[in-house]
Amino acid sequence: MPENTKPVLLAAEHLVKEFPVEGAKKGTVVHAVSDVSLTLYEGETLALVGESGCGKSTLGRLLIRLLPQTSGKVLFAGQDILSMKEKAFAPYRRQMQIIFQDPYASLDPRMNVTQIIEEPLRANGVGKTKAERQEKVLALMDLVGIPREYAKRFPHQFSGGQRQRIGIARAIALDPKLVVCDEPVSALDVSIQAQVLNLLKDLQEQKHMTYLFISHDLSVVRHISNRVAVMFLGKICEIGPTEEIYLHPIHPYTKFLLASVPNPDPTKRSEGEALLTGDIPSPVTPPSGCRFRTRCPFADARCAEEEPKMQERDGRRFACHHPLAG
Amino acid sequence: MSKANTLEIQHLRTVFHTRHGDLAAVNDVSLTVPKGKIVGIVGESGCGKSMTAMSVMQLIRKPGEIVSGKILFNGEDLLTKTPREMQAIRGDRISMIFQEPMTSLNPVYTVGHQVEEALRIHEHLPKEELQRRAIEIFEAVGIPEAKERLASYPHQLSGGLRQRVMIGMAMICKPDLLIADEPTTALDVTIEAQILALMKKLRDENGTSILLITHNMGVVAKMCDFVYVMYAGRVMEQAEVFELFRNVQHPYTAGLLQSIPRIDHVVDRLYAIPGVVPNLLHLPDGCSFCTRCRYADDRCFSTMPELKEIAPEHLIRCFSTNSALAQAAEQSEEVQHA
Repeated sequence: MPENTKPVLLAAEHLVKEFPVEGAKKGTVVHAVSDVSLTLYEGETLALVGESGCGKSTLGRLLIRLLPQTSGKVLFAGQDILSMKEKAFAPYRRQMQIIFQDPYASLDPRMNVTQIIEEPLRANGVGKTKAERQEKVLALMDLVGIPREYAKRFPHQFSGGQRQRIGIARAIALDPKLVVCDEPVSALDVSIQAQVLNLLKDLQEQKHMTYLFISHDLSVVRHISNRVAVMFLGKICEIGPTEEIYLHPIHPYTKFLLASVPNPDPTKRSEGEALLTGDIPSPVTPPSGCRFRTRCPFADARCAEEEPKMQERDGRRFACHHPLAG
Repeated sequence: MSKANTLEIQHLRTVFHTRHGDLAAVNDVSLTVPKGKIVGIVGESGCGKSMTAMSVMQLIRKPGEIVSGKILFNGEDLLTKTPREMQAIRGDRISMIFQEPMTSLNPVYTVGHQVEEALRIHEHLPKEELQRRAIEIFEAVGIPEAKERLASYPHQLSGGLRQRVMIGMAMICKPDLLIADEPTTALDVTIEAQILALMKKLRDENGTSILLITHNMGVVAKMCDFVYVMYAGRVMEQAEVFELFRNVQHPYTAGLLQSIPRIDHVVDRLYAIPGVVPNLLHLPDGCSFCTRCRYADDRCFSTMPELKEIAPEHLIRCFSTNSALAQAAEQSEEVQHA
């Protein structure tokens, strides 16, 4: 079914997040997310990709109200969840959960597995008795592949992959509609990464969850996502179906990003390939016009003067004055 | 020892004496870096790849100890050198760069000071000459406005520039061997591509031999001439890079390659090697991979296989013959696709 006929779960409209800078540059701001609009459809996996500091994690947190926005709206099931009072937001919060990158830092070292997975149940009054909640915890452990006999163990007694499974069990305990996966496999070895990616795919199918999958790993993103949004310095460059974007990138940044990924096949070494020059500009003083122009080989005077508007072509949106043929 | 080899490690064994017993982080590892070649060691966390590199540099600290083996560098055994002689070699003939450039640079000195330090120690040059050489190396590693940058502190530079500084420091004495331990793991992909291209360029221009340690099969495929795959302290497979990727033979290497999502094609489900890397203190009796191997039989659980040559310069530590393995692999792939 074409993506745009699926029901909309969440829509972000003109989201902006600016962090004030302290110290010597006081008075200036970090433009972490600048005027981002996107839609999440029910049951899909939308990936947010980009390099460090592009604002992908900040955007993920804004969408589920873990960070206050500077301006803009997020509509979840049609309701503006950012303008609500905290109390009115509570029933929405349990429908949106997050899995963090570092399974070592995101689990309380003094709580055992049962307590960790039970906490969201208790906080939201799920299960009338302790026994009922215990039963649910064990079922969740089965689901993510943590043996039941480990129920009283503490986080330090598990490997990184197992810890991430515990983090996943905690996130799905309340049957959320939306799960933000913030670099969920970046800290794991490849053989373990595959186990966790397969688990995430299985759970999504069983529970019909929608994923916002934040990652810098373009190979993982191609594997897991239906659609991709490519971010650069707080803005979306290009958004559309994964296959289309990987096979026919329209935005020059997408093209260079994809070409930079080392392919595990020595026959595909491209000697003398075109590399992106320079570093990522500072988000405190982003370039005028198009933010990518200082690294873009196609940039001209217009790119410096006029910010490219989002355009639409073949079910894709992109912001560029010099779009590639695609 | 052939003159054509910059580094030749023979049967190296590095052990850590812990409360719970001795664990062999590097176990009977033999490895050769021919002159001007890039040789990769690839494997997951704890496989011994970094400890192999640290052993070459003799940076193993207590409770760790190199207990046996030889490390021949340009024909001379480094393990017979005094600490003083090693100091003269480190940073001059052999240099090392690390994963995290921020923690390997000193935050209270300018990068210029730190780059010149290696030259000051090893070559005793006058001040103007030091600065000239520092600018020269900054330009060679692609740092813009090289002269001005000498006065920068590490925190004023981006991650990519810091790694360029590290490479500059490592290359300033034109070493024969550069050991690069996950040099691009902390960097973004577009910056990683720049740094990898830079390392290749320096190798081509100076003939430096490189020992590249990485967990990333993509980096291996892109950079290396020859590859060693390590698991639980041992070399499991070694081959020339094109041979390895065309004709993978060890079940561990094959599993690793199958478990990586690919940017150029899509599978519905990834192959996942079951289980986790074993604890080095409690290795299985036979092959260290037997508990996770889909082809393991009784013999694998009782006896550690020796490395054997199955094609020219292609060695595996496995009992299975290649044709049996290939058949089994095909069948399992069919099952996966079904």
